[in-house]
Amino acid sequence: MEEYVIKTENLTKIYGHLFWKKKTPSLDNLNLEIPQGTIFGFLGPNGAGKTTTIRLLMDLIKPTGGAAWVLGRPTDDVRVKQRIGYLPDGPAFSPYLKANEFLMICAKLLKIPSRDRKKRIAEVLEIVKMSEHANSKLGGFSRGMTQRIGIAQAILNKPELLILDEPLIGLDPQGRLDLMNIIEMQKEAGTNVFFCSHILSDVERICDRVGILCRGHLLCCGILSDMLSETGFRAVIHPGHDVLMQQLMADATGSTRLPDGGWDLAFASSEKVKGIISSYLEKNPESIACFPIRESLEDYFFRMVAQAGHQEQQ
Amino acid sequence: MKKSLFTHLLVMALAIFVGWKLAISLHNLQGDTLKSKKMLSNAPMGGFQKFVSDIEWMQFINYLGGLKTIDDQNKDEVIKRLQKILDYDPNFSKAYHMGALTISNASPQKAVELLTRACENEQLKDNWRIPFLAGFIQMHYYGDKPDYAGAQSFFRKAIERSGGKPEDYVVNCYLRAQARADNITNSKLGMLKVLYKEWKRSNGEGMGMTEQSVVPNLMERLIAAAREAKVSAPNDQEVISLVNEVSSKLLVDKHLCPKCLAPLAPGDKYCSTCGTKVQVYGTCSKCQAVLKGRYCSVCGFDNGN
Amino acid sequence: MNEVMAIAGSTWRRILRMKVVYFLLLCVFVLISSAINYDVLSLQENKPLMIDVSLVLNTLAVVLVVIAMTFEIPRELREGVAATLLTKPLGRTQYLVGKCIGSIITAVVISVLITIGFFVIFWLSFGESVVQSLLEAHLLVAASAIPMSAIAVLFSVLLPEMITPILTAIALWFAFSTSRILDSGVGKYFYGGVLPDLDLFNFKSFSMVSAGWPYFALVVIWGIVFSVFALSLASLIFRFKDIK
Repeated sequence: MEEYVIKTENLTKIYGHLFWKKKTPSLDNLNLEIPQGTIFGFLGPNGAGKTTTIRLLMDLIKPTGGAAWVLGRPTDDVRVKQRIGYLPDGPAFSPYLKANEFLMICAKLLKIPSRDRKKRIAEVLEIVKMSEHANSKLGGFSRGMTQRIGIAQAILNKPELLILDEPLIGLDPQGRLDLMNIIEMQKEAGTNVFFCSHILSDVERICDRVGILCRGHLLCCGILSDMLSETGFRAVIHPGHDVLMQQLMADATGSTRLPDGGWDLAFASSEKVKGIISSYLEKNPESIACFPIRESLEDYFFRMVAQAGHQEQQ
Repeated sequence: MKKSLFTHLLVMALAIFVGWKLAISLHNLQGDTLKSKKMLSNAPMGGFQKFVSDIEWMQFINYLGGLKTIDDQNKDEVIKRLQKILDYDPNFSKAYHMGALTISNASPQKAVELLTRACENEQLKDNWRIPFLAGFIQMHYYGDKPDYAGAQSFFRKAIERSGGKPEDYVVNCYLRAQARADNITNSKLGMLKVLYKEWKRSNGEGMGMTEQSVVPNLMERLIAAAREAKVSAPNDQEVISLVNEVSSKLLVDKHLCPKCLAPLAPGDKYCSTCGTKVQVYGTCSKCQAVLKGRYCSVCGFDNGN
Repeated sequence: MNEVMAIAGSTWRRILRMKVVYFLLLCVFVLISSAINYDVLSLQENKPLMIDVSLVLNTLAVVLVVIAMTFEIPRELREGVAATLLTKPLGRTQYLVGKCIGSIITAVVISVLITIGFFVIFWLSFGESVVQSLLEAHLLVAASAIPMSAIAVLFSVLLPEMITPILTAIALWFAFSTSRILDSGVGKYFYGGVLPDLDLFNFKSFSMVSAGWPYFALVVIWGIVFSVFALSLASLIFRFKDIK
């Protein structure tokens, strides 16, 4: 098995590289390594180059420089696409085809054995909850229904790598929940997932790793929990420890009375408070439970983008 | 990538070469099959020449219907339209017929020119009416200067194209044209002279190379012509001289009356037409009965083959 | 091959599902039938007229299908349909070949329907059955879809969307006159290999000479060889093109 599902080396894309056209750099020396068994979230503001990166990985566009490998194979290797499922941003399908006809064409292209095609198509339609629309023409589908069919064609071949470009756009809340469940199901089945999204809360919920792209540059990339810094901690004080509570209340940044009479206090990082809690815990080990407070992905994202902006100005 | 690019270029080069060779062969093959293709107009018509010709034809009919006559004022327009039709469809035989007839009065030379072009069209090589019409126009529509020699040539062509069974009037026109070309005015004698000349030509007598006669049933026509000439002018020395020459050369074993050239039946002692005593033939050498075969049916004598 | 036929299938399904196609077929049959009424206007030339109308409409139908392809490929590229397909294990060459084959099959099907309709109408009008030369002429029109479709695919890839249909139509028009360059110096080396001669498929004539089945087979082979060239060139351009 390959070490990295996706690997790029100085991957660069400049649009308008012909001499009479205005050069628009979209991706600048992207170096990315995504290991096996990951749900990877690829984030960035509009125009950062996320979709460009995905299109380069799917060999829809050609790089101006550098190289990329998917599942250990160069991106222009047609055969590797048999192991990939791809959902584009705003999928478009032939409107005159019915859903099952379109999926049958995809099944043929994916070289699914003919005896298994119908069964597999029925399965994926069931997964995306579109079975009742199997014989309806794609031209009559809503945005959300089209997105579901897009997901269906992406998972049709039980891919090793699922690449999703803004998969949650156009889905209602139930649809989003269903997709999140599908992604988690895929992960449990051993599928690697690489997806872009603007909905950071969802990314934070399911991704193991994230990368943030801004103006063609990769600002950061790594395990999510490592990237989000600790901004403080919470202390849940069980009932009957009012003395401790009164000692700590002054330094608490937030407090909540719990139904059982206890308190949930939030603190900024403070050695003094930690010291008080540590010494109390020595005498009363089960009096308090402490949890770190990390910054949200959204906060982290804005912080990184702002930093990048400042650096550029300098 | 480089290997794939090389393969692409190789396949392209191969396809260009093979396509070029094959196209040239097909072009030649098509040219051999559609011999009239070289007569087509050069205007780019997207392959719709034939259809455009049909449309032009219907417009031409419509245009002609609006004319009272074709004269010097409108003949150029008529010719131009006709030319267009035939440029787009050189095989349009009806256009040749009708068009030539239409302009034969106003511009007979142009009519003959169009028909000559049609005669050169290999695709119309079995059409005898076209050369016949050309000859007819040359004989009758050229005013004071009919072109009998040209007409004769066209009539000959018409007979050759008739597949061995030309119409009588075509043959007669040919013979008449030949007679006129030779300045022969007496029609009966002229016909005999022409037929005799035709026979001599087909037998290579004093005419250079032997040329097969196009006149069907030449011998029967010769006999009939000789008979008619003799009947019409029995005292004309020229007629008598020619008839005698023809008889002595061609009609010796034809069992004809020496005087009136009527056919004699086996056993006849006198001509049934003019009563002249004739030499008997076809009878038994023993009992003089008319023979029906080798052995006499009356006396059984073996008369040999 | 399965992949190519999958793409071809989606193409012909699209065109054959358009109701306007059947309406146009009906119009074609009506126009062919109406030729019988032109006996007076054409001085009894209505029979060859009917044949010519049939051949012309057959050709136009094939050209229309081919022109439809010049709309199809740019539209699929623009709307992202092509992108969805090309992210499957489908080479760009296979995509183009599939489109070309789809166009050819559609054009041939429509042409054959027109041919059958014509022979039925001809038999009903004049009591004459199928003549080999007439059949060959119609089948040659159907076969001309092969190089025409390749030209359409090449132009779709080469030219901007707005002008592709017009230039394709113009190219097809002038492709019937390519044999004129045989008289030129250097031009004759481009004949047939680079520049197609669609007139090789043109046996429209009432005083018809039969092309012969060997000629038919050879001209189909030439059509395929030329298509190989055109599709190779299209593929060479397409492989370096960014798919939006």
